[in-house]
Amino acid sequence: MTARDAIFAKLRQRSVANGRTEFRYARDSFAEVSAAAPLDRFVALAIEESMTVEHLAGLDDVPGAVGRYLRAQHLPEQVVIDTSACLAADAFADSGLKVSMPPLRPDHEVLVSGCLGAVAESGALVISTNDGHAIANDFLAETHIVILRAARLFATLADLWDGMRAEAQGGFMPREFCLVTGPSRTADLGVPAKLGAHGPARVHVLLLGG
Amino acid sequence: MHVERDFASLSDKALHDESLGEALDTVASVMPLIRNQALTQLEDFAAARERAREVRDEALNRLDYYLEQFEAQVLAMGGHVHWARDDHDACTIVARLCEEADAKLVTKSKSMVTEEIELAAALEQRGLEVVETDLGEYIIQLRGEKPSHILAPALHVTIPQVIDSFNTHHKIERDRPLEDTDQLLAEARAVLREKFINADVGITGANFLIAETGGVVVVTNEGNADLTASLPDTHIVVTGIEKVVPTMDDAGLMLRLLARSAIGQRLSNYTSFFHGPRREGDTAGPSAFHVVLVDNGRSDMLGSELQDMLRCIRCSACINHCPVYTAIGGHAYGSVYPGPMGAVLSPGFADLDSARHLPNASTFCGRCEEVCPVAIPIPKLLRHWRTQEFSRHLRPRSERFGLGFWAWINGRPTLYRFVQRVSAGILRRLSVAEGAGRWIRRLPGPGAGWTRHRDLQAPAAKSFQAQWRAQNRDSRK
Repeated sequence: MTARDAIFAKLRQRSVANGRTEFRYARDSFAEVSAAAPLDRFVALAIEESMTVEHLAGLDDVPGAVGRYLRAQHLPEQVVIDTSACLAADAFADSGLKVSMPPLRPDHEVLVSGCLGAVAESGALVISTNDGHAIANDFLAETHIVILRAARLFATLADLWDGMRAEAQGGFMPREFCLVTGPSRTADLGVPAKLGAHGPARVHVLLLGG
Repeated sequence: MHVERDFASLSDKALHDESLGEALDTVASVMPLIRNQALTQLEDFAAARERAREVRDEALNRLDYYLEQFEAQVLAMGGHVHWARDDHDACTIVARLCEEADAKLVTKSKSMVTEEIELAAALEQRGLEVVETDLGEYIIQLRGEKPSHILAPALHVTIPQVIDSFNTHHKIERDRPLEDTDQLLAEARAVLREKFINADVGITGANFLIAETGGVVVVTNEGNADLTASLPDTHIVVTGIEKVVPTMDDAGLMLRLLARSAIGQRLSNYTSFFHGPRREGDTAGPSAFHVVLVDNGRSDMLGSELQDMLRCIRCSACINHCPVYTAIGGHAYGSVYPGPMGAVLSPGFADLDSARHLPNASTFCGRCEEVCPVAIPIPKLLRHWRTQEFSRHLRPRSERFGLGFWAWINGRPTLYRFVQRVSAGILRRLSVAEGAGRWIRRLPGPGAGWTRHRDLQAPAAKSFQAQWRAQNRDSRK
């Protein structure tokens, strides 16, 4: 008998419910309630969790905003533009920034990328491997600048699940997706937690539209 | 699973450890506050908790069904699922997968199941380099220790001790000083980054498995699980068979309660969902994706009085609120699962004989059950193990004799009253008057331990029964 057979034999013998059922899709209705509009909610929670947010009219404003942010933070003016940002390198021609495309190398510190969306309830960005995005880059960068379209904001986690089911490719979820609520942090060197553990020390959101 | 048997001496040692005491005082004072604060964000925590209990019960009551669904989804996405009856099975499977990947360097994110089955040691024995990537786990790995808390494994380690460990183990040319926590963090980041990038295999645990999608959910605050899972060519997930939940909606509810109960956050910093290996068009990601599902005593709990414990989502709220844990810390329990949850799990995962002291390491104050986000009746389950312990004759002869003697006296009312009158008289003679009552400052013999740290109130001059009789006599007059 294989280990699988042995375990299942025991589970079938001991599981309380004998009748087989289909999935019971009970929609999650326990989201944190807020009087604020989802967009305001997301921005407030993102800032509370140590992200920074800048509102922009559209994609054309991104190169200028990236340059301004890096200069204000005294960060290296050299950025990697991920394909998920939907920006060609020459869009940065007038920005004064040194721009390259992935892969990310160890001396690259700033990454500009797109994301799947965000969840207002949790103040979380949703990053994913959709369109072949190398998600590890989002964790390797020291500074992560994320382009978020206001139309991709989900009010609650349940809304996100609905959206993801509707967009599932071939019936499958993205290979990896991750809810990010701020810079990487650790409490293993005492409290308060320190930012920049393994992942980004800074997460800057460029919010388009809305 | 291995459990140390010398609880009494380990806890005595822990009680005399001052820096441990300071760390535990922080846990006891801070964690309940931030948990409460975070739970008040929810409109109706009681209802959310009830639903969470239902979700976990549904999954456990049809565990075979949901595991089959999960397995089918993982296979459909091109992943592999492996089944392990016990710790030995699990370590053998992972070692074989590492061998197939021709691995030399393995990165690992924090996982209590891999601690339970002692996976890192098993892989190291086979010549692999295994590097823990959660900063706390990394620190205790350098120190050759076990975790002392399921969420903050290096809770007991002081900053000077971390500096020592880094200086001893990081044999790299270094011109930067290691004096404060910023420098320590930069040092760890640099050293572990090398490991992330060069690893052949990445091993993570799982907080939840989603039957609907075949998703593996892992939460961290550091982002180490994502780098562990995404950079090497092989990702191996090792987790327990009880972690499955039916749907994404169910997972969402559990995640909300997990982060709040654990560390007072709305969500953990990174909540990652993994679905199989690299796909067509992907420029990165592991080409092999394995899930190793470990039984190791869990199926024995299913359908028994202990099934409620399988609802546990490892948030550590019961640990942070436990008056015993916050006095002695995790190492005293001698098990990688400390505190109230560990006192129920350890006898099940190891054996009751070696873990028999743990269900007794409780004041039965009930806070663990009160704060549990999935309403596990922990005191009831501890009582179950105590009953088992007594009926299986596992208690030492002296304890069994003492309990038997006590029962014998209790069964003889006249004798009981006589013994009580005599001992109350002796205790009152030892006491001194202070304020309204009488207090005993120092007890002889086995009672000395009690009065070393506090006074004992002397018994009343007349027992309850004597007063009751006198009152009835008076009222009849």
